[in-house]
Amino acid sequence: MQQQSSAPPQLENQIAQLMAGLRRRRWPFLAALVCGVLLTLFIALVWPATYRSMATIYVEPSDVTAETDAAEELPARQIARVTQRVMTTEKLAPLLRDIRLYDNEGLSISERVDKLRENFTLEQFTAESVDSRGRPTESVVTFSLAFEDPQPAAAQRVVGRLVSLYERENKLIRESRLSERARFLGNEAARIEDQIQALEQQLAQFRAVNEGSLPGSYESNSQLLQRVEAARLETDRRLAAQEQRIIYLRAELATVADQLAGSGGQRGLLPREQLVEAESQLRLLSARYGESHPDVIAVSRQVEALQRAIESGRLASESPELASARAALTAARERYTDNHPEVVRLQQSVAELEARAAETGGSGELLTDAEIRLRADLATALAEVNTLQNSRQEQTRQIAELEAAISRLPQVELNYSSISRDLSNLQNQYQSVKAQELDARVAQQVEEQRRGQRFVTIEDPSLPFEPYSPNRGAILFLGLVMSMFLAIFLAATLEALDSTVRGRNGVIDVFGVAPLASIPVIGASPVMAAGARSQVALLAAAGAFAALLIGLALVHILIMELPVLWGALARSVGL
Amino acid sequence: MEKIKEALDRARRERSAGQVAAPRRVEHAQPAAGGQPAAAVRYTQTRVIPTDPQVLEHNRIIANRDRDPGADAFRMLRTRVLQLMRSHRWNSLAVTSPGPGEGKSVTALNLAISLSREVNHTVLLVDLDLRRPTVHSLLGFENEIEVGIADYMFTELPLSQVLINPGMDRLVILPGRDGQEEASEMLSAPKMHQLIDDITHRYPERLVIFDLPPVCTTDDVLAFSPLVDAFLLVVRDAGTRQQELRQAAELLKDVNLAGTVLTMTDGVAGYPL
Repeated sequence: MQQQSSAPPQLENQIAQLMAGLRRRRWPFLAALVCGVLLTLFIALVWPATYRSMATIYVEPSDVTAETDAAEELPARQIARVTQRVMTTEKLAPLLRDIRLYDNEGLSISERVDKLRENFTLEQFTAESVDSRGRPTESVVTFSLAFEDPQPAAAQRVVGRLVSLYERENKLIRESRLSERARFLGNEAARIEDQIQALEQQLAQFRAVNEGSLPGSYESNSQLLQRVEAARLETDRRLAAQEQRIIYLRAELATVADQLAGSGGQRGLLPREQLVEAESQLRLLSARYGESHPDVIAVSRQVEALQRAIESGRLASESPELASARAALTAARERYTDNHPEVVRLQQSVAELEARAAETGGSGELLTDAEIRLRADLATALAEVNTLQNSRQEQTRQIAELEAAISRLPQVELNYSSISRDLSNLQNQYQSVKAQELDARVAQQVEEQRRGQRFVTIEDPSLPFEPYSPNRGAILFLGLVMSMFLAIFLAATLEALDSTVRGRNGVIDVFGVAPLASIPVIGASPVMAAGARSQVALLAAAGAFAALLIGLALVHILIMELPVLWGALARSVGL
Repeated sequence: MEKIKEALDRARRERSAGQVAAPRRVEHAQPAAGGQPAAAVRYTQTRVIPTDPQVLEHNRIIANRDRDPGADAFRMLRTRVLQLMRSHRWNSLAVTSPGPGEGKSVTALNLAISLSREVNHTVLLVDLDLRRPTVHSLLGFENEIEVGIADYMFTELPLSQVLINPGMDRLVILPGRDGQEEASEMLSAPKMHQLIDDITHRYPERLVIFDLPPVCTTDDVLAFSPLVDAFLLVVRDAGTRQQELRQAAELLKDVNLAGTVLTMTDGVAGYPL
């Protein structure tokens, strides 16, 4: 015996130990196994069947091209939105009420809704496609709605109701979205239109204010400037010619007067002529110089004196002699007293002259034809000069204005282009919004005529005949495997927790020597077998009964109350 | 305590008076053990009580059977024990175990029966598990016997009145009867020493088997150990705790340990796993 077991192969030894352990723990092992198997059988057979009804819905794309249907959502997003809208208590409560689902379980409405949501499944089937930008994308082609319930008819009715809810919600969502879009775009277009009007008004005002400095008027302005400058030169030239002529005419007139006077009597210009001349001279000068120029001051004084003399009216009818006599008198009186012989002589001579003037009746002069003609020419020439000088002044003012306008041009151009840019931006915007609005309105029309993206039921909810769950075979298999593992685990645990001496090796560990002999359990002899067998049978029966009780208790606690279960069983048998 | 004192006094007296009881007992026993081995041994003095085979079987005493795996196992044990005893010239063997209920009395009785089936020696089984003597119960003698080893110790009762032959050749039982509280003191008493000395050395061809209490629970075994040649430790497979076994090994490290025997194993007899 010692030779046999002195050096056993390691693996064989281990297997032998394992078998010995299993044999030692066969009762707990078998009890656990039986328990597990019974529980598995019980669960597999008693678990209520669930039926699953399913409908398939096709997401039919819009008939109209994607350009007009710009508001199109991706199908997956649309389905998600519809699902959110459908899976509300508000939508599901009437469904639960009509179908009388989960009616007699004493649940609150929200619990029932939750339960419905739990038993509902949405599945999407995608396919490769190309989106509007030409990129390949995954898009949902069909999706299915499924519902599970112990009663097949209820499952079917729930799916039917859900399908119609999905179709209706899809339509509502799309319609509201499209009309909202159209309204928004319309409002937007109106707003932009207002802006455009305001800007156009601003532009018109700007144009009015900056007339002549507007961009594009440079050409015409500069041409005008050149023309006006040329005209002024011409005026200057004509003015010079007229002055020459005046000088000439005066000279002529003076010659004629000398001839007339004969006696050396001086024949000067009439005061009125003098005044005209002085005035024209003043205009000439003041056009050339400032008002404070000495020439201008001198001439203006002369003009004033002449005007005074004409106003007094005396000079008009007095002869030059009288005038000079008076002037001499005035000068003598300023120098001497009235009694001075010189003053007296001059008073006499004045009185004499006055008497003579009165005799000849005012203007006692006689003018020749030539003189008359010369005087008329002179007057014409003077008038001409006057006119020319006026037009020159006008031209000068025009030039100044044009030059100012040209210098203002860049600033105006800046402002103007800014405004017109804003305007053109707004106009573009307006056009695009207007086009979109049109699209939206078309899409709305499309939707109203049921030509847009829509849900089409391609498979109506079916009435299930075969239960969907539980998979009794799988439960059985899993349960058996788990029972086996549980039993092995139990045996192994008991074995591991046990600290007793095991077999020869246990003795050898302590003493270093094998036991002299091993005595088997006495009573396992054939004579004893009958009794032992009956004992085994009794134990097995007790174990099975205990397992059944434990199983029932577990079912009662974990799965469903036994009376309910009994009712379900009775129903299934009755069916 | 009174009884002990009494017993001690008596032992002292007997020792001084010379061995009176022993020669007389020898005379009675000699024809059975000393002479030619005979098929029919007759116990003239020793009381013979036949055993009921069904009772024996129920009590797992099977060493007297011929075709039985348990009996085979005990024959194996017998042979090993005999080899050891002969080679060391031992003639007394104490059977003990680390704790109670490990099959030491059943083993002791079965070993004794198995040994007695060899014709060239006689066997005396002494039940020294004084607190809980069981050998007589295993033989079904609860109602048959009135006296046990304690009666011999505390009274003048001759040993021959206590010995029993259970209807098997070459086997004599010295039973215990009632549980004794002063077991330890009794074991170390001089009269006990004398008794042991007497029964172990009187006949060279007699093997004496002692059924002792568990080694770990009392000090009885240690108190008794000087009086015996060797020990046999009974270990119950998957029943004895490793800690107890180690403790037993520690306690028995100074005595002659013939070996261990593994009981209640699961395997086939003789091929323990």
